[in-house]
Amino acid sequence: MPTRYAYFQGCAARQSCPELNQATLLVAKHLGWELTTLENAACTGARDLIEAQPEMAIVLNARTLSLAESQGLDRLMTVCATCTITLRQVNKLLKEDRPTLDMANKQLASIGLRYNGTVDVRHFLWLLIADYGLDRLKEHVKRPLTDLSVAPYYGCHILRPSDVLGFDDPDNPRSLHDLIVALGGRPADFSSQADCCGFHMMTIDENRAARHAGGLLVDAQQQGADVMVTACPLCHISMDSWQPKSERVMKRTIGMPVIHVPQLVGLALGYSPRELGLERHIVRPLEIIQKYSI
Amino acid sequence: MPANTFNVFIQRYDPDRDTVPHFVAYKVPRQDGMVVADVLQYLYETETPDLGFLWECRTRRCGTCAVRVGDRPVLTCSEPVCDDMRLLPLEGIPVVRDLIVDRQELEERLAPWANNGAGPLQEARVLLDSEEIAQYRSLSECIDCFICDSVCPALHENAKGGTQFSGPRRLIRLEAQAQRRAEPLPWLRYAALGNPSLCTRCFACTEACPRELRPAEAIGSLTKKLFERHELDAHKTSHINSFVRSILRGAWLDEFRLLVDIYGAVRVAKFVPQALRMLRRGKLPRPHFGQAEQGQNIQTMLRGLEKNRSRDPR
Repeated sequence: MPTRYAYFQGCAARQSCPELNQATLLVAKHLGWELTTLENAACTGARDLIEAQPEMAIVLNARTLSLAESQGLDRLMTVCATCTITLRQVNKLLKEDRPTLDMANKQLASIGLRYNGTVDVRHFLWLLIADYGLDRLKEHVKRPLTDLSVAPYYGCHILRPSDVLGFDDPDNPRSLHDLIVALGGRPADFSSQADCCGFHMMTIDENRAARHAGGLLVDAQQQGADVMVTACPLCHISMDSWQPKSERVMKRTIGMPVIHVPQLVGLALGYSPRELGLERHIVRPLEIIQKYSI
Repeated sequence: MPANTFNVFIQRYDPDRDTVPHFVAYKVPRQDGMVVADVLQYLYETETPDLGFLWECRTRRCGTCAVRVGDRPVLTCSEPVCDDMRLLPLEGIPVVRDLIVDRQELEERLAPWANNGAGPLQEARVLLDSEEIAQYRSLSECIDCFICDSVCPALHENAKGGTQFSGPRRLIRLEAQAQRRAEPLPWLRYAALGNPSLCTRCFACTEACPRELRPAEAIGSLTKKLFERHELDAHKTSHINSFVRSILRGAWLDEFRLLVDIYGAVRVAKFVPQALRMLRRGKLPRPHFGQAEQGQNIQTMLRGLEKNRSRDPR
């Protein structure tokens, strides 16, 4: 299986979640993945652009896909679920609808690019499980996450709609569960693990979004989770950066640490919390930091 | 248990008798091609005549038989049975009895905005091309099963107060109407009263819809129409415009600028405590984030799109 990937960081991992980028690069290097960061790519436009200005969204994302293709890379790795759904949705359209591909290529030609539809967009979590394999990953585990109860939070854009994403069963997702077990931890099942984090209504109604995200955190906490893991920096912003807001709206303390998938993997591989940027979180996973800094 | 029977657990609740819902186990003889509706009918006829459930057509057309099998909303008339299945009423809608939910209550919950002065909706219909007819037919095939509303997290939040979201079921109806009108604006304004920007874009409705109508995408299509006609709410409009400006300026979203664009230079000050927390953690987005050279490159690429659009008679 290929271990050379085009790496699409997205906006959040370059700005408000830099620790995600830091941990991703560290873990990928450790596992021998050769990442080519697409420095000249662009924001996917998230759900806003694809809804309100779909032609612009198609051409913009075709440009990113063509940047990967032009370097001979057929796998584009994402670390954000919303980037994953948007890039995959556009890629599906470009591969299945010839007039759309022709339209995109006409615009790409003006900047000397072309897309032939050879790239596959895959999330870091999917590459870890399907390309690399959890059995191989287990061989690298130096510090099993024994006794750590981890709430696997999937959210939406890595599951639904399944005809665009298609890696996990949206009704019974297992990928994060399997990863946690492979790293020696205990998955803490909670009922809202595949529910929406509310990020995309955050700027429309802050209190509503904060209350919604807080509900998920409390749900995980009630199932005995020490920490929550998420595959999307936008979910992380909702539930970590905005957790103080959730606490204010809900009039209760929560204090649930939320970490990124590559950080969880990195801990088991033996990296220190500082190397993985765990101290950058608003709700610091203090128990983990103390335990794993030794 | 005999090999030709299987267990079914049904959530029972009679508000006149029970304080909380509870599960009751039943054994049902297995038959080839059996669907959930057959199980309910069998139990009603043989064992528990007070079981509350609905069905009318048995052909996936009426939408009345929607329930949950475990966490998954389904139509009982087409859902195959499985061992140890747990049947529950749809989520997020008040229960009348057992598997019957109060659809009337849900309609009434929407009434304040649904009847709120959107004006007469008598505009002439428009002639559609074949592609548009196919799209309209698709949306107009909604069977009012309420499954999309029952899985909608934004609709569930309504119960906690604040701005009310009309839910996907109502919005796909209005999108279907807007598609076939020469002047869709009254229908779009009607839809805007249901606050489509509160949709979380989670695609739970698209995944669950038994008719595969893709309600989330229909809400996206409504958003586009509202945006183009300057009828979208101010926050969502600023959000979209900020994305476009950021990308044209520097290829990436300028997260700092996004908040200023949405809230304005004065109101954005309320985020100072949060900004200070992020600054302390070394993760405060810096102003003017982006790559100007790539922004120029994107502008060059999109210029052709604008030219094509200006030549397009539509």
